[in-house]
Amino acid sequence: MDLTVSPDLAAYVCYGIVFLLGIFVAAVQVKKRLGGMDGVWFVARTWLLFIAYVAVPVVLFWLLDRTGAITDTSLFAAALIGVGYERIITGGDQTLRAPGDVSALWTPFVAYADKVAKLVLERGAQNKLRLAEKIIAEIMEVPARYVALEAFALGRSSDIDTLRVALDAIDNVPGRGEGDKLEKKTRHLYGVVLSIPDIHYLLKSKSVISGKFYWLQIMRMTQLVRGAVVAVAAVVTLWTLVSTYYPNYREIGATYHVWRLGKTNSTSIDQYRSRRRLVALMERDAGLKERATERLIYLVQQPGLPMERVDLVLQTLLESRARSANTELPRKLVQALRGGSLDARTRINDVLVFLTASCSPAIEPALKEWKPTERDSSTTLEEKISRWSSYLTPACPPK
Amino acid sequence: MQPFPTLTPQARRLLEILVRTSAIDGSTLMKQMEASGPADIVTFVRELQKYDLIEVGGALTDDRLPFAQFAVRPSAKEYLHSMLRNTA
Repeated sequence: MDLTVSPDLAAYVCYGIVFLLGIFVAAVQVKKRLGGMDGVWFVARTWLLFIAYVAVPVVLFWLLDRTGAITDTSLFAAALIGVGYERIITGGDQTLRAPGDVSALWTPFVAYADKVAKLVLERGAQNKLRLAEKIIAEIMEVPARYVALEAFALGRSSDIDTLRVALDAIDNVPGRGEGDKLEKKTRHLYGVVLSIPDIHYLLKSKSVISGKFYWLQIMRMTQLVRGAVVAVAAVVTLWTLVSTYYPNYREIGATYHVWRLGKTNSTSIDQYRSRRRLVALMERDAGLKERATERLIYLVQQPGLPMERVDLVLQTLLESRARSANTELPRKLVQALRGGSLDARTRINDVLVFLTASCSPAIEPALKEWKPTERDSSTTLEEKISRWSSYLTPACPPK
Repeated sequence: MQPFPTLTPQARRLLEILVRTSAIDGSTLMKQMEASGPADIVTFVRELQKYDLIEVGGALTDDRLPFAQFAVRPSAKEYLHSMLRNTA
């Protein structure tokens, strides 16, 4: 599949797609590997395995974006990784391949999945045995229940004679008390009927076990109610936290878009989208604009930032200023001259000249025509910054 | 690559059931094997265990085998498929 033809969506949407597909694939994986076992979702380790399976595609998506194999705004890459991460990691996919180190990590993960499967198996057997003991105790509580069980087992048996012989053999063992015999017979009959599909529902409908026992123990309503209570408590806690410490979504959005502008492995569509949305956010809120401006100025000084990104950040700053005047921008931008890149410094100086074009008196030629060079010492740089600051205060006062 | 182990027909049948279902409880396994009691399948379960082909949760005693859980290791599924295909 050619990933370059993929629609370009916001990164959080693509991560969401990977996450949702990961949930679906994880559920399929767990079902495929442990699906035949009763009550497998009631074992905590199953959930651990499920979470591990969900985490793998998300981490792989992040890693492949970091290594430049994909961009995290590619819908096709998100879908491919969400569904086929196992093939990608094991090298079976022609379009994408995980780095060698990741493939090496897959073997311990598979071993871990085996280990969890084994633990779930043990736990499942233990639960089944416990349930059997409870069912036997439930049947023995009321004599009529045993009678109903025996009638049901004989009615369903393909070899009634053998079953009768087995029950008689238990009855005829000398020295056994009635209670002991009843328990042995109940146990035997329960073992015989256990493999009948939907046996517990049938036992309830034949009054071998009570409705209450069926719902609470067999259908695990107690556990479900307990789980629901925990889930409700978690939701209420989360809701309380969100209402108490109400997150400023615009602030989060602005931080996200500034990060996207500085992210080197991003598409031009993503850069354009982030610039538009950031400018729109800055336009709506003066306080947010100030903080976003500071973040952008911090970003423009980042070592190793490609020049096209420096230009993009400066364009964003100029556009945000044009839409709603920000007389503080030149003063803040002066500090960005301290960035290590000469090209960036030149561009920032050009922007400062542009921003002060209408200020009076006009800027001195030494600043206007300054071309930063490698020969500039630290003191020269500080002197320029100081002269810019001194000029801006009277000539372009904040309004 | 190690050669595939030679299994008795009953053990092979048991393995086929486990590969098909991934995991199964003892009582259902007995029914699918048309066994009249735990003793009818325990030998074959042990045969598969000897070659490390399956996982068993719980005890293999007469009274507990119906409640035991049987499964194939998730990572071994492809190998087992291939084994059953190539030794048919």
